[in-house]
Amino acid sequence: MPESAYQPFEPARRPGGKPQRKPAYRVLVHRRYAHLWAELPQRIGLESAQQFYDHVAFSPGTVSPINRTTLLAGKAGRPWADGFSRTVHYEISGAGRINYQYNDAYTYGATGDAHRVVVILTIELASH
Amino acid sequence: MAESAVIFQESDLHLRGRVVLDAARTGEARLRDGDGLSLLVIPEHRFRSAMSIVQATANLMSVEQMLDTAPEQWSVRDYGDWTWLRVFDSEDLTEFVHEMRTALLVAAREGSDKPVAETLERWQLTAQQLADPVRRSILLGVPPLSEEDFVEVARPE
Repeated sequence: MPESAYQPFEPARRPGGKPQRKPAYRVLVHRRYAHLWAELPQRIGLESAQQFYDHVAFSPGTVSPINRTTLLAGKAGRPWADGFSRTVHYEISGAGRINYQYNDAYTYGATGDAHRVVVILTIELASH
Repeated sequence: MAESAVIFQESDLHLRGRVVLDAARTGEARLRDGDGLSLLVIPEHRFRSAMSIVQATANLMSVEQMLDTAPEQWSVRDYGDWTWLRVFDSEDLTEFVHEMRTALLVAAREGSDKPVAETLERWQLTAQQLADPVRRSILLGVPPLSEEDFVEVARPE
């Protein structure tokens, strides 16, 4: 008897786009900009918001293939704590600018396990 | 760059125009006008690049002179064309001067203003980010940031 493709105990494929992978980096936002993070899908579009999240959640240290990234100069570009990168400036064409840093071995409170983290320092969105 | 050994005459523009243009395209074409004035034809991008390097050098020298004086004496005129630099303190300005010197050296040696343009663009972008007081405070870590300043977020849906 030929093997059926139907596997009753496996979940069906997610409809629509590609399935979500587990993020490689925890993504944190500065409290002063948490409200703008919540508004991202409405302000810059869901696709752009997800593109940014996927960029920082999986490869924050690489050059974005879609949007422009630059390292800030001077003191504004310095790591805010040991192990963090310089400040990366991510520009969403005509819609917004986000500054973030990342750390490949961050230990929260100096007691937890080292893990990868991205901290979003500031968010600037274009006016309506 | 070595001077071209060939000096074209006014008549060459009519009789050997293609040769003059080819010389200009590949480096430079030297022309002697009827009154003896020497003219040089070079690709436009080389001229613009050279002028940009000269202009940047003049601006940089102005900023360097300013840094030799007390901050209380600084005026917006001291920044030359780069008035956007006024958001930076002396520590950042010293770093800017160091980076610009390197960029100008490479630009002059390689005959391209690209390193200067890239350095200026990065510092101007940073100045724009620091112009807002809340962003400035967070980016400069004044007051210092702590873990409690951040909240975890999920993928936008």
